[in-house]
Amino acid sequence: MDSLLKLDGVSKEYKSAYGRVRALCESSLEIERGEILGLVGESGSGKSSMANIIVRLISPDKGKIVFNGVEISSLSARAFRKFRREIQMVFQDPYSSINPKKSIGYLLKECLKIHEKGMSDEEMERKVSESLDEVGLDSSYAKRYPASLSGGQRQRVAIALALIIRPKLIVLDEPVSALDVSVEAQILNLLLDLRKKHGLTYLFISHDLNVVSYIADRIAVMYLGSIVELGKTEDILGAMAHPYTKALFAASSDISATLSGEIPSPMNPPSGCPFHTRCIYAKDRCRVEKPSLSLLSSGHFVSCHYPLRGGEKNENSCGI
Amino acid sequence: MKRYFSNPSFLIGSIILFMMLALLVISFFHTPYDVTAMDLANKLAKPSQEHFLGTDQFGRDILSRVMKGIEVSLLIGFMAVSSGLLFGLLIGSFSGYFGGRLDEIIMKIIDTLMAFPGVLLAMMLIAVFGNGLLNTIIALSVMAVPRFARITRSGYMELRDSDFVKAERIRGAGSLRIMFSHILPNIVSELSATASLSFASAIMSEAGLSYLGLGMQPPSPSLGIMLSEAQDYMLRAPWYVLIPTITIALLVIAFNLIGDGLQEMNGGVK
Amino acid sequence: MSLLSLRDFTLSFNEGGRLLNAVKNIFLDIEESEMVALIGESGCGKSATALSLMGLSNDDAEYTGHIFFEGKDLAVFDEREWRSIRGERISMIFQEPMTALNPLLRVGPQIMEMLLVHQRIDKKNAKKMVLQMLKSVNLADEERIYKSYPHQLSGGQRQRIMIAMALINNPSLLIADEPTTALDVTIQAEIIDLIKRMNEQKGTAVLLISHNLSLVKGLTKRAYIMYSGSIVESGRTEDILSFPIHPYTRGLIASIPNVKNRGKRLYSIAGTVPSLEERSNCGCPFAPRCTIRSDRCFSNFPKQKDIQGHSYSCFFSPDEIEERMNG
Repeated sequence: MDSLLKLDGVSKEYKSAYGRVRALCESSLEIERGEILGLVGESGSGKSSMANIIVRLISPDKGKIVFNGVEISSLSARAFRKFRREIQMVFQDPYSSINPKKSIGYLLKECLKIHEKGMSDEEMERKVSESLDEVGLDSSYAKRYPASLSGGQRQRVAIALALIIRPKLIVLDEPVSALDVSVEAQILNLLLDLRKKHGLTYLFISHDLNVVSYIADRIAVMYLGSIVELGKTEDILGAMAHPYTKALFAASSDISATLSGEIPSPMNPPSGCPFHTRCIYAKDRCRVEKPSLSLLSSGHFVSCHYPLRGGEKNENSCGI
Repeated sequence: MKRYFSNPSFLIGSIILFMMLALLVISFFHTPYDVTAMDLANKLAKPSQEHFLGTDQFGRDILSRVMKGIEVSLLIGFMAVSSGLLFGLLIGSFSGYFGGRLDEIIMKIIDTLMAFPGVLLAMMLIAVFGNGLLNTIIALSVMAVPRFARITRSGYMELRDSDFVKAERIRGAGSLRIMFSHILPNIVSELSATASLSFASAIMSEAGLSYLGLGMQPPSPSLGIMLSEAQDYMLRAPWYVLIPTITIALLVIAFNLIGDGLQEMNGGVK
Repeated sequence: MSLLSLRDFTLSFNEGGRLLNAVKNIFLDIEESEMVALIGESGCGKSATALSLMGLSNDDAEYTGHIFFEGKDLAVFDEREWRSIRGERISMIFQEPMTALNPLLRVGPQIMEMLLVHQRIDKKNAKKMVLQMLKSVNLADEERIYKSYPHQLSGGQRQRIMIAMALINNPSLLIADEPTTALDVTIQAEIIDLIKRMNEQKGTAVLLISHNLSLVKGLTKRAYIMYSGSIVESGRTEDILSFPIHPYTRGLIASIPNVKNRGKRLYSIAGTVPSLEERSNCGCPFAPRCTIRSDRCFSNFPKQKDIQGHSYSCFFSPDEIEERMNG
C-alpha cells in the first residue's frame, strides 16, 4: 500500500457561541496514490472539517498529517508553502469559489506567477490556454469574467485553476452537487479523464451516494467526526458492516426512511458509540464503550462492536 | 457606464457636478475679475452686466470669487477624502482581514474618534495645530478616516471567509495579494459610494470651519468665508448671501446624489 | 374533470421589448388526490410554473391560456381572488424552509396565523388544531415545538413545520418545490415518507417538483418532463423511467451516475441549458443539444404524440429515436 496522504488520530474542536463543537474525533485515514477515495456522511459529520484540515485552511488540535512521506502538520506556514501546489481543492459552489471581479485568464496566470517564478509571459499564455483546453473550454475563455459563465463552465474553470499547477492530490468537496443533472455527468467524465491523464489522486467528498458509488475506488463513511466504515467500494456495497452505512445507502437507493431522528448535535456528542442513539441494534455495551476502527476483512474496516455480517441480518436492517 | 447614468440620482448629481467642474476649469484660465481686486466705489453692487452676480462689501466680483471658491472647496474635499480613504482603507483592511487583538484595539480607537462630532474633532485639531489650508485638509481627513475604516473592515471581514478567498489561500496566494488584488476589487463599489458621501460632508465641514474663522483665512475666496462676510449685509444685498449658499448646497447635493445612486446600484441601503 | 388543468398555458416576461417565454404552451393535469411529478433542470420553467399556480408571478409576467382549478379559470383572477385560493385551496412548500418562515416569530403562532386568516375559528380551537397538525407531521413533543423559534429547529424539523403550515387548511393541492434538496439523505427519505402519508391520509393532491429522477421513482403515479419551458414527455412515472422516449429524457436517465455504470464513461448531454434570453422561439427546444436532430427540428415544434398515455414531443418515432441514438 503506497499512501500519498495519511491522517493519524486527527482531532478538531471549534469554539462557538453555544459551546464546544467536536468536528473531528481521533480520525485516521490513508489516501493511496492514484485512487479516488469517496468520503460520505450527513451534514455535520465532519467531512468538511477533514477537507479543510487536509488543505490546511484550518489546523488540527491533535494528530499528524503525513503527505508523501513528510509530516506536514508540524511545518510552519512558510515551510508548508512548497506543499501548497501539491494539494488543491475544488469547492461545491462554483458561483462563490471564483472571484467575480477577475478574468479567468488573470486567475489562471496568477497560479503560475505564484508557483512558477520566472516563467515567461508567452509560456504563461500557452499554459493558460492549454489548461483551458484540458477542461474543455477554448482559449477565448481567458478573457471572460465569471458572470458570463454557466455553473458547469465555472466548475470547469475551478478545476482548471486547481490543475494548472499540477498537484498530486485534489480534494473535491461536493464538486457536482450544485450542478444540473446533465452537467453533472460532463464534470464527472472530465474528472475521470484528468485523473487518467495526470495520475491524480482524489478525495471525493459527497452526500450523493450514487455519485460516490459510481466514481470511488474506496469509500469512507463518516458519522459525528469519526470514520465508521472504510473499504473498497465493491466490498462496502456488497457487505455493509456498519448499521449506519446500511441505513444511509438504503435511504438513498429507494428513498425510504430507515433511520429515525437526526444526527445528534456535535456540541453534545453521545457517550460510547456515537451512532448508538439511532442504531436499532444498539446494546448496553454500545452506550458506554466507543468502538475503534478495526479490520473486518482484507482492506475493509469498521467501527462497530457488532458489525453486520451479510446474509440474514443485512436483509432485516434494510427494512424490506 | 450606461447602467450608471440610467440611475436618476446618479445622473442628476453628475450633471450638477459637471457644471461645477466646468466653472472650475474655466477659473483656471480666466475669471471675469481678479478675485482680490477691490473696487470700493462699486461695493455691494447688484447683479448687472458688468458684475454678473454683483459685488461684495469691497467691490470684489462675486462670480469670480465663487468660481475660485469652488476650486477651494473641491481641492480641500478631494485632498481630505483621498487621504482619508487611503488611511481608512489601510487600517480597515488589515484590521478586518487579520482580526484578533490588533483589530480590537484599532476599532476601539476608531469608535472613540467616531463618538466626537466630526466638526468638533476638526476644531480641536485646528486649535492645537493652527489654521490654514494644510491643517484644514488634515483635520478633515482625520474626520473621514473612521468611516472608510469601518466600511473597509466590514467588507474584509465578510469576504475573508468566502470560498474564493479560501481558494486563493489554497492556491498559495499571500495575504497581501489576497487583500489588495482579490478582496479590494470586490468592495470598490461600496467604497466609491462612501467616498462620494464623504466628499459632500468634507465640503460642508470646510465651509463650516471657514465660516467660523477656523479654516481658510481671508482674503482667500472660500465659500465659507464669503458666507460669514455676507451675513452682515443680508438685508442690503441678499444675493451676496444667497450665491455662496446655493453654491455650497449644489456641491453637497451633487455628491450626495452620486453617492446615493452608487449605493442604490450596489443594492444596499444604509 | 381534473382538479387542476393547465391548458395551452404560456408565461412570458417582457424584457426590453422582447417577449421571453419562461413556460411555453404547456398542458398539465392533476386529478384529485393524485401525486404528480414535474421534472426538469434548473431554469427549465418548473418553478415559474409553480409560482403561477400560486398567483405569485412577477408583476410584469403575462399569462395566456388557462389554469382550470376546481372548475374556475385562475388565469383571469385578480389579487383579491387569488388570496382566497392561495394557502387555502392550493399551498406550497419550498426548498429552503428557513427563508419561508419568519425568524422572529415562534413557529406555532405562525401556523395558527394561516388558520385565522382563512377560517372562522377562535384562538383556542386554532391552537388545538395546530398542535394536532404538529403531531401528525411526526413532530413529537408538539408543545415544545409550538413555542420554538425557527432557528432552534433542524432543517428536517423546519420542513415538517412548512408541511404542517401548508396542510393546515386542508388544501386540495400541495405544490412541493424541491422539498428535500437542501436536506440530508436520511432526512430526505423521512420528508418524502411524510408527504406520501399526507397524500394518502388527507387525499391532498401533490405536484412534486424536482430535478431528481430517482426521488420520484415509486412515489408518483405520473410525471412530466420539462425542458426549456416546454413539456417534452409525460406519462406514467414507471414508463418514463424504464422506457424513456424523448432524446432528452433518455439522455437524462443515462447520465445518472450509479454503481451499475462504474468504470464506464457516463453518457452526457452536450452543452448547457440555454438561459431565458438564449432560447430560440421556434423549433424543438432541445434541438441544439440533441444528437439525432434534423433540419426540421429547428423550424417547427414537434406535435405531441401519444402511445397509450405515454406522450412525447419529437418528430421521430420511438423506434427511430432508439436506432439513431444507438447508431
